Parts: sequence; C-alpha cells; structure tokens
Amino acid sequence: MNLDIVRSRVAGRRRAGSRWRALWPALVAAMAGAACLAPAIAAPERVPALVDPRGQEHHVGKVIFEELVTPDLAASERFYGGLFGWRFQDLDAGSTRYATASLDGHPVGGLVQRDRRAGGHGQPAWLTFVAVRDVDAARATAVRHGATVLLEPRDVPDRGREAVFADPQGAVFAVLASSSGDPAEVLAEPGEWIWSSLFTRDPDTDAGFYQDLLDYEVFDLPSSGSDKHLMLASEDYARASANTLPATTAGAHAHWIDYVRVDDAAAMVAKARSLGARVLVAPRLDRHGGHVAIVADPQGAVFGMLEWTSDDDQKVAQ
Amino acid sequence: MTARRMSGSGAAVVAGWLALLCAGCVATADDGYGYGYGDAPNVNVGIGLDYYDQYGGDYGGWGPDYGVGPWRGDGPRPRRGEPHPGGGGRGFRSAPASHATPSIPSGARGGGHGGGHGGGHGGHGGH
Repeated sequence: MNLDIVRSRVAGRRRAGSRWRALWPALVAAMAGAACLAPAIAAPERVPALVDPRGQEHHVGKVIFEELVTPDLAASERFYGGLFGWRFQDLDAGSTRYATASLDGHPVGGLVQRDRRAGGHGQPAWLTFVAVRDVDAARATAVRHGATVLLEPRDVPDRGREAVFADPQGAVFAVLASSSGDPAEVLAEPGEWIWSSLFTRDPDTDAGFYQDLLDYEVFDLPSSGSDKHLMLASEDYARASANTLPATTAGAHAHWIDYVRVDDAAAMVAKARSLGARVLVAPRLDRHGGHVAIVADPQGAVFGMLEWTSDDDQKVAQ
Repeated sequence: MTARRMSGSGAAVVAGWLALLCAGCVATADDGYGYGYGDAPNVNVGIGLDYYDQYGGDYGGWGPDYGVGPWRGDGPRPRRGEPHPGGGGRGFRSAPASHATPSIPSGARGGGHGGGHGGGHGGHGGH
C-alpha cells in the first residue's frame, strides 16, 4: 500500500476521531437534557384549575364540581356534547383517559374512562364534589359522624385536594379543597350544573351528618305526606335538598343526583332520548315550580334536568 | 485502535439512549392513577377517580307534593316545619326561625353577587 494513502487514511481516522470527541460533549449534554425533559413530556397532562384565573373565594358547602366515570369516554362526549353543547378537551393521563368538559369556555366537569368492574355490577355515575377548606379535617369529621372513607385524601395537581366518602346512609360524595378558589356565586347558565339533591331513607339523620360536616343551615320544609324535603344552605344560599326515597323504590340506596339547568325540560328530555338516554322520571312540575326530570345517559349514568327560566331568576332576585 | 474506541463510544451512546428510552417508558407508566375504592392507598396523587355506583337507579313514586328543587321566589317564602333543635332522634338542628328559606344565586356571571339570599345569616366555617 502506498505510504501516502496510509497516511491519508490515518489522518482521516484522526479527523473522524476528533469529530467524535468534539461531538461527545454535545451528545452527553443532549442526553442529559432529554433525560430531564422526558419525564415532563411523559408526565400526564394536568387537569385545569377549577377557577381560572385563580380566585380567592371559598364557599364551604357549595357543590363546585362533577365528575363522570364512564366505560366509553367517546360515547359520553357525543351524548353530552350533543345534548348540552359541551366541548371536551382530552388529556393525556397515561393509560387513564380523561377529558374536561366546558360550556362557552367555562368548566362544567370532568369525564374519566374506566373499565367496568368484573361481574358487571359497576354503574357509571356522576360524582358530586362539595367545597371544603380542609379535606383532612373533613375526613376526620365525616368518619366521626359515621361516614366511610372510599378514597383517602389526595392531591390533584392544580386542582386541589380531594377525598371520597360514603355518608352514613351510603350515599357517595366527594369533597374538594380547590387550590384555585371556588367558583363565584352566580346563576348557572343553561347547560351548566345548577342544583343537587340527596335521596335517602333517613333525610333527618343524613341532613344532620352534612350539617356537622359542612355547617349547613337546614330548613325543614313542610310536606303533606311522610316524605321529607329538607333544604341545605350555606352563606344564605340554598345548596342542595335532602329528600326521602319514595317507598316504592325498595331496592334503591341513598345517592346524590346533580341537575343541569335547562330552559325546557320536556324538549331536553326528548332530545336526550333521541341521543340514547333512558327517562327515569318524566318531566314533572316540582313543588316550588319549574319542571324537573331524571334521565340515565346511554352508559347508565343518572343525572337530572331542572328548568330555570329568566322569570325564576327575577323572582329570586326580588 | 482508534476505530475500536469509536465503536466503544458509539455503543455507549446507543446504550445511553436505550437507557433513556427505558426511563421514558417508566415515566409514562400509569403510576398513581385510577385507584379503586377498595384498594385506595392512604395518599396518592393523580386525576380521575375510579367510581362505579353499586346501583343502577330505581326511580319513580314521586307523589304530587314530592319536591327536589330549590325555592324559586314564587309567592311567599315556604313555611318551615317545626324547628328541631336536635336530639330526641332528630339528626339535625333546624335553622333559626328568623332565617327565611334561601334560594340559589341569581346573579349572572361577571355581574358580582346575585340575589337568592334568605335574609338571615348563613352558616360559615365548616371544613
């Protein structure tokens, strides 16, 4: 082999070696940077804050959030989007499929997809979140007064701290200490959650439980029969009602139902039915006026619709 | 020799990237999410509850006087039942008679506080 060629090859290898040596720090730096970045990229997207921009209001006892657990997130989005015009933002939460729902830019809830439990006993449901200031203190009080802890207090980044309990009668609910404050005291727009009701065999005892937990004022409204109709209030606002489960519903257990405000319950129930909902309580005149209906979405999650017109708003304002 | 060192360096780079990929896979694992109620740990961080109700809904039997909604300001405020100060089997302390039954907030978004007050002091504090 020609000596010049050998020298040329050796020089070429040296040049390549020096190129590698020059490249090596850059590669190490790139790897280090990527190593730092990878968890951030891979980390689940965070749920949005409940109040944006962050507020300072806190309203203990106010129902501030609802979350749906569904076996079919896409189908649920189609239903609620079609019925109320909700828009959805799917979040990357690892293997958990989670979506936030909003109406005209205002958050109305969260939807999470979960497989049904083995045996098929799982019933998709909306979970009611009530505002508290201190979740751990709420846990202690709830347990002291007979509740069962279903999910221990946990932090949800950007959302706050939450826990899930079953009240002494078995109704499941959640408490949330929002890290961004609680939503303002305003009237829900059509398509937004407006009201919540507790159905239980023993409204008196359950009302006492929630009073101890959330410092509610309890208004015992007269009723003609044995059915109780209690109003739970805080900060001079009605927050929810506690009602006797009708005797005919022997197989029912205590539960919460949340209601979406609608302008025309009959029309919205018909629309819900056309989207695959099942009507559980047909639109009926409520004792304080306005029509109310209970439906189950196509996956079986139960929610209510409550008429509230601008006339109602004016009457209440007076 | 130099070429062999190059190969070693290249292998190290490849090994590094493989390690990084593995770390990425670990980071994307669904750690901390979706705890069922039956096996909830003491503390966890995450989003998305794992809640399926035990019951599919048994509704009906709502008589004509059955009411679930809030008072909505139509006519006089509803008369209250007898006050129950608690005890004697009653589970709650009734609101003072001086407090009128409240309704829900009535103000529009962006318009500040609305009406709906019952005219008395509400409960404050709690958790």
